[in-house]
Amino acid sequence: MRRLWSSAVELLGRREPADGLALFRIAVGLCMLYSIGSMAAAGLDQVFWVDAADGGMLELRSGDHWLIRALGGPRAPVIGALVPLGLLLALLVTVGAGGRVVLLIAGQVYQAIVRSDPTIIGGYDLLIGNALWILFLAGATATLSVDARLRRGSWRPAVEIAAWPRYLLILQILAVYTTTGLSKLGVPWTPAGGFSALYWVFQEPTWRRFDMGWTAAAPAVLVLQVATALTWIWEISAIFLLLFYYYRATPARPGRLRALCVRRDLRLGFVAIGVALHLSILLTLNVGPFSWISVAYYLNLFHPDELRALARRRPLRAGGEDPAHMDSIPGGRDPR
Amino acid sequence: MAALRQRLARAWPHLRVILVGYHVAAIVVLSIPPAGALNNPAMWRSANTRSDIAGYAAALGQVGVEITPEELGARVRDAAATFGRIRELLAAPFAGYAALVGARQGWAMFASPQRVPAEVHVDLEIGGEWRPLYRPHDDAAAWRRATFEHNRFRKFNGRFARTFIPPHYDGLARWLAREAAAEFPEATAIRVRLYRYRTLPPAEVRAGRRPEGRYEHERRFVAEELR
Repeated sequence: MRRLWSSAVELLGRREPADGLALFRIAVGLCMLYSIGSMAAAGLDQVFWVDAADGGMLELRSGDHWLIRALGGPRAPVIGALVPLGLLLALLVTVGAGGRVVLLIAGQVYQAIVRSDPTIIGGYDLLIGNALWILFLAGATATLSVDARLRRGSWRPAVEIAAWPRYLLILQILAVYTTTGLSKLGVPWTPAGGFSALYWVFQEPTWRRFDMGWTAAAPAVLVLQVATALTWIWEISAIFLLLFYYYRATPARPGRLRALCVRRDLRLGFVAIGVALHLSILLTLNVGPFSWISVAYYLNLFHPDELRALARRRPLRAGGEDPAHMDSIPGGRDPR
Repeated sequence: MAALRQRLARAWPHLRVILVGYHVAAIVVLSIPPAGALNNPAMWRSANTRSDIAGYAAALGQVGVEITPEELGARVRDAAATFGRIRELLAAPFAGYAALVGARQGWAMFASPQRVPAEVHVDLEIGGEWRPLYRPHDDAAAWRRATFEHNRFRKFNGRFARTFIPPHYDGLARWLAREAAAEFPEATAIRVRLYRYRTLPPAEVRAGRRPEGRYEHERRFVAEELR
């Protein structure tokens, strides 16, 4: 137990270049900008986020967040002020201005806005909220930011930040996939339902972008059955990607799966399926910025050195640029 | 002061393990579906859930376990209630933290694809005749399509098929009617209805059949009263 504790202390004490999380911060800021901006552009901010007493659609009472309650509830002037503030904060998050304070306030204001009406909250709202909290804890404006330019005279100074926020973001996205897979208890996701789930999803008028009647053709049905099974299995098994990091951090130990993980970068397969899945969603269904924010989380699956290697189209080394640097695990070796 | 600072610096790595461990536990526990979702009576009454239970009962029958959909539904519901109670107990230490910092979880997406969808239809009465104003995916009735196709509006409308909440529907109907009345001065009345139908399986689509549905929850408004 003592050894495990020491390993945890050591693991969470790790530091790494700040640019990986900075890229994620930029992506999160853009998703926040889109999420609030698209509502304002459609004029729906005053419809859904404002109480019926002030011309909104529903009786929202006090909203579902401490800030909106403290401001007197989702009244027209409150939302009228919060929405532009949210847009400004999204912009500041994107350009990395204002340090941790802006990241903290952005998270709270974003939640206050979207939780004015809890009936229309999406998975992407939760992902953005979670991201902003971790970015605040990480102090993710250290590089690729206005802050860096002002404090260090460079847009991209070579600075390091704690690595554990990125580990938490890895866990977050894997937990999303695994628990969404486990929640898929509807019979169409299973062999008992003929793996027909995606066929039904594409027929539903709520989310589809255009007529998907053509998916009733026999070859399309077969493709969708394979895609349904693949999606379900991929989602449920996502959490096992943590094993990949563990095995890569402990390559000297025995085991075929470990050897495979050391030899092959299984993350790339995981990411390829994920990107294909989200690209398909983007093309066929309108679920807001869910795919964008999900794929943004993928940046965290890689150590910043690995992101640089990918950008330069260099192969990823097993161990030497291990993404999670989990070599502190008992029996593990230091990959550096 | 310096001594205190030194002690804090020594303690911080250990405190960090506890705080990060707490966050990890929060993510894991709160990702389990909440009791509210599992015990929602409207969800259990929905055509989708009943279809799921019937499907599982049939699958069990094929492997020699004879059970009616009603019996299976009752057992699953009891198990879900127990599961929900345990989940609430586990989640209690984390709920406040998650709500405050924005670490809420909840990832049930397309858990049971809708096979009996419902569409919001809007009609105008002009010169004693009803004319379709809005139908989803219908180019001939595409009033304010861009607005209704925003993902949050889609989410709001899509809920009526699964868990129909009368105050939400009434709020929507009144808002739609008000907007239509203002935009079409020639209209004498506005009608909002929910069109519900069973999605056809692939074989029936290939055989040339068309889905047949019925209208529910009609709300009529006199245009003049809304202007």
